[in-house]
Amino acid sequence: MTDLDTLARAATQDLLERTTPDVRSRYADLRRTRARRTTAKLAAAGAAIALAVGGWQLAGPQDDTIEPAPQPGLRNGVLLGLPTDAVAPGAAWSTLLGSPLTNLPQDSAVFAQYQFTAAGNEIVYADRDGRLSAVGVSTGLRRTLAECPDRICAGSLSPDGGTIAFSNRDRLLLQTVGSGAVRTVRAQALDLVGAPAWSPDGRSLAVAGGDGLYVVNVTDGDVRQVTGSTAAGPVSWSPDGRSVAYFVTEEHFGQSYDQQEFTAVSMVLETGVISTLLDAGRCACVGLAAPALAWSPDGLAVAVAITKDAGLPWGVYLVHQDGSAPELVASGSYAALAWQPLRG
Amino acid sequence: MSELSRTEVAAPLRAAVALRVEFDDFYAAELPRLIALARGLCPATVAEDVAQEAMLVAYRRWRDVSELERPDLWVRRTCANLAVSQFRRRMVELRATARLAGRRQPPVELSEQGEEFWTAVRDLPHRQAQAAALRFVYDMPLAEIATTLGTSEGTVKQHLSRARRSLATALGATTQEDD
Repeated sequence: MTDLDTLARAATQDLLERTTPDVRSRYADLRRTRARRTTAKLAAAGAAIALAVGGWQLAGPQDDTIEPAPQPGLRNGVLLGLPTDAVAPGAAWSTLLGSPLTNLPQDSAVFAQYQFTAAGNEIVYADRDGRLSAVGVSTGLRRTLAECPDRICAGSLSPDGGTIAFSNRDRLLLQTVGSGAVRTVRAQALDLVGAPAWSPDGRSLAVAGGDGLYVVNVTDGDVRQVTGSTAAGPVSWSPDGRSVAYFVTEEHFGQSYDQQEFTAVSMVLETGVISTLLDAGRCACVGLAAPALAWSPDGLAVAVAITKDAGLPWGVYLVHQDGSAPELVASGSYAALAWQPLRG
Repeated sequence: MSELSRTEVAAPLRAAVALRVEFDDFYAAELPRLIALARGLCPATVAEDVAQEAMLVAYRRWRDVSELERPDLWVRRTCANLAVSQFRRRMVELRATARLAGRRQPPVELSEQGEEFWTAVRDLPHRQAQAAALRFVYDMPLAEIATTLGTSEGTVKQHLSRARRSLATALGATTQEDD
């Protein structure tokens, strides 16, 4: 039997010998990236000023209630959460509200987000083979929707089930389910991060980038940056399509490591009015999940999974439209949330 | 403009240039092994980007970082944290997508044995994996790993001991207790 130190030495030597970057070109890349991000931040600031002059209130008065009206005809199904300590291949999601579903994906990838289809009868997820798949929650039937670009599945399925939107740096890829045909929408934004979120009518996509939050008109490709550089996903639409919920972040420089401070907010897209939902804590997000959120299908609440050092104990809270105190629905740390819509 | 005032005007510019030169040297010295550290903790497809992202943070904050007693430990910690952070690594993965798409050469792959060993390291709990990677890649003493990870020597010793036991089991190897 081989000694571990011998194995470690050989593996480390192998690693170091094969890691021979072109430092000069990588340094040039670094400076280009830095310049690009700075430009994007300045552009974001400019856009914010222009919108403010035009009567928008991007960082305007804060309301204490969630603005949009509930969507008639939809009710809340099961609320699922992914416990942080279960983040692993095929990790088990927990049922936080409602009756446990019969079938959950068994082959989801690490970091995989769950998305319910508009009818609530399937869960869309990234599988371990780099595909976006769907499984029927009552039937258990599984189908493959698309191969993910470079096996990185930051994608989501449109409400009509016909198109998948993937984020890819400065563009969105719209892939038709079945034919696999791809249409590219080029965002002026840079470094799109996380899966885009479809509006309930399927006409728009909201996506967080390294430099802000963007809303893209799927039909004409128009891209609108709705906030500056401090927005972070996930993004969740209100069921009436008037508002989006997301996180505002603030970075704190530390001797030990940088920390992100998160505040869950909602924005009415038409007016730009931002309402604070909940202090979602701060973390370096090492071994801890960043906060997550999901708007309830009936539009009356937003579920927010907070991280440590928030004013409230660790857990998942419902922030109600009526402004009442946040309601704890599950204790502990959750990396992702998904809320099932039901008709009638 | 008098000689004195020209000096006063030029001083901030000279300081900025000096800082830039200082970062250039730091980057050239640190990058290769930083990528190795990231490669030990991440899949090949994102390792370079994780290391580069850590360097970008250092570049952006160089005025602060350069004031630290050990900027090298700071960037290694940032890289190690980034490599295991779910939230931040996802961002890097997405940026890597586009970069990889336009790259002629695929990321460097390790030998079969090397890949097996580092995969076992990546399967460890985050803190154990970080401690083990710093130990192997930089041959760091316990005290320096503790400083890098912002924890105590005792905790590092415990992480390494557990990591060695888990690695030995996973790889079918024998082990002796760490120092």
